[in-house]
Parts: sequence; structure tokens; C-alpha cells
Amino acid sequence: MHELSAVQNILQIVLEEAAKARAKRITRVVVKVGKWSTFVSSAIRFYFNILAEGTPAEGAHLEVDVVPISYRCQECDCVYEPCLESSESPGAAEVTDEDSFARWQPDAANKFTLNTDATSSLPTMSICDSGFQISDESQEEMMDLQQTWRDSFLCPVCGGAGKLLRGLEELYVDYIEVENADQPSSQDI
Amino acid sequence: MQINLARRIFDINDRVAERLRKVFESSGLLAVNVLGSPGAGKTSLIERSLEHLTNKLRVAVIEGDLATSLDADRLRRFGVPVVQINTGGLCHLDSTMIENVLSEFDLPTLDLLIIENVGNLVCPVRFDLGEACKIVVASLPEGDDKVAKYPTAFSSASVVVLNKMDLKNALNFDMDRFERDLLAVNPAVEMFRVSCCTGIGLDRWVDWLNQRAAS
Repeated sequence: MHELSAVQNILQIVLEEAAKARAKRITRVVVKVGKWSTFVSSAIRFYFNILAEGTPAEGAHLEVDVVPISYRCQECDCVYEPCLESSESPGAAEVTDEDSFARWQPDAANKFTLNTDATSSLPTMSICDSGFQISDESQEEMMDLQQTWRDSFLCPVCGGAGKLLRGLEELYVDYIEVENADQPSSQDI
Repeated sequence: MQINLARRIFDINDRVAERLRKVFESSGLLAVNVLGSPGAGKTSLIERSLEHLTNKLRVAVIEGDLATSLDADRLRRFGVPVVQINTGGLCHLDSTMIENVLSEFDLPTLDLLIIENVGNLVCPVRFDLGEACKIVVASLPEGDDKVAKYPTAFSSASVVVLNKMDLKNALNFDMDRFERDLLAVNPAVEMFRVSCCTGIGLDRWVDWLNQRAAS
């Protein structure tokens, strides 16, 4: 969401450092971003290409490396990555009725009815029955997916609880590659 | 030629936050950063905390909102210094905004500075305000899946206050799921279940805050 201001800062850092090295051109910029940092790689790239125009960083290859989430086990000290994508499509409800579409058609029975009787302070509503039912099986499947997600945060070796180690805070320019004016180019040699 | 930098992108925010942290520590006050969705009950929790704490602690509040001083007006009734920051359209507070309003307070006379962030479970997480701890306020109507869907906020919290417990019987909120998800991403977290409406569970929360601020 704040990629624009992030990229403004990235560019400022990169240009400053390139100027210090008296480089003519920046050819490569490597940025590290934590998976949970709330910064999105594609948006960073998008803004970088726009903002770098007309600067020595124009045309530089921007690499955004996502630092995966890792936890350190509080019991045995090992480092592991929880499996964040475990729940592929939790809650996919099974439709029990073959003719489900027909059931979606609104009819008099599943419309709200307001009781405008002045003696009643709250309007009463009829119960809306769409005919959909989530099967017990799919409900269990969803609970299993949730449990798999939770379990992946535990240490895979000893089952101990972990503490977030990496993947949240990281947001930095790792390194840049420049064509340096002070360095003799291959043609000069 | 490769130049290794390892330079933080929000260096300015982080540097100001570090400066604030030192100021808070040297003033002997506890600064807390309160996060949560709009409507979770952040201001209500602060109101209830002020009710119980103003006879024990010297408290001040910084209120962050996109617009209006509605929240600051609510809190001023408790007789504490309140500064409202309107961010315009910005969805989080940053450390410079906090630094800019600090002169409004007599810091060494305070025990507790409560910073209520803009209602948002995403952006405020990344902007350090120099606080000693982050407090995430969640509430039952938001649903029991919020830890799994917003792990960033919940994993960075020292404390999670689950509000609106009075609605438990009216809602399909799976308490077990919420708590187990929370402990999975953040085993060290402290959790309080409260209702700012009825007052249930507030005593434990207030005791915790009081102890942290007094120590």
C-alpha cells in the first residue's frame, strides 16, 4: 500500500550511494522485502520504473527478493518456515442439491418481510432458506486445513512453539551494481 | 561494481522511532500503540481503561484518525491530555507525526502514553512509533478467521484484546479457532477477553496495563 513512498526512499538511497561512488549508471538494484512486511513486489517494480526515469537508475534491473516467514523454535532452537499456503480453498461448500440454481431464484418464501406494526419495536423477518447445506465432510475438511495451517507454525522437529524470526521487519536495499566512473572501463585497458 | 548497502528503506521512520523510544524510556513512561480494525473498539477500550486508571496513573493519549476530533473529544471528558492527529488520507501514524506533537505533553509527569493508531490492520504494523508494545484490539463481529487473514498484525502484538464478548451468544464466533490461530503465529502473546460495553474481563486488562506502566 505504501510502495510509492518506499520506492521514493529506495531511489534516494540508491542515487545517494551511486553518487558517493561517483558512478555514472546504476545497472542493478537488489531489495529485500519481508513476506509480511505489507509491501508488494509488483507495486515496487511498477513505481521504480516510473520514478527512475531520467535518473542514473533508469533502466536498472530491479530485483525484489521476498524474505520468507521463518520461526525459531523456543525449545530446540531450530529455524523453520511455516507452510502459509496450506489452505488451498478452505470452506469450499458442497452443494447437496443437484438443482441448486433453481433454489437461488428468489421466491416469496425467502424474502424479508417487515412487520410495520407500530406496537413492535423491531421489524420481524422470515427465515431465508436458500437450500444450501455444507456437508459434515467438507466442514471437517475445512477444520483439518485450518489445523494444518496452525501446526505448520510449530517446530517440525520437536513440536515446540516458535517465535517469529524473519519475514516481518525486512525492508532494505541489499546492494546495487553500478558502472563506476572511477574504475577504468574495459576499453581503456 | 557491486556496492553492498543493507540500508533500511524506512530509515527515517525507524531512526525517529528509536529517538522516541529513548525519550519515552528516559521520561519513565510506558508508550503503547493500539491497533485494530475500524469499529473493533479501540477508543472504547481506552475510555474504559481511563475510567479505571486515572486515579492510579498519569495518562495521556494521542489519537490518530483520517478526519475529525470525535475520538479526542470523547477521551478529553476523562480529564487527561489528548492530542488528535488527523492524517488526512494516510492510513497509519508515523514516528514523525508523534514527534511533532510530543511538545504538547509534559512527558516526565506521565506514566502512560496511549497512542491510538488509525483503524487498519495492515499499514500501521510496519511503522514503528517508538512504543514499548503493540496492542491489537479485535472483536467478535469481525469473525474468528482474522488472525489467519491478518497474521502480520497479530504476530507483532504483545497483547491482543478481544472485545465485544457480550455478543458471544449472538454470533457464530469460534473462540477456540481464534485463540489457537493466535497462539500458532504468536505463542508469547497475552490475550484478554473483554466487553467494553458490559465491563466483563476489563479488570484483568486494566491490572496488566497498570502493572506494566507502574514498573
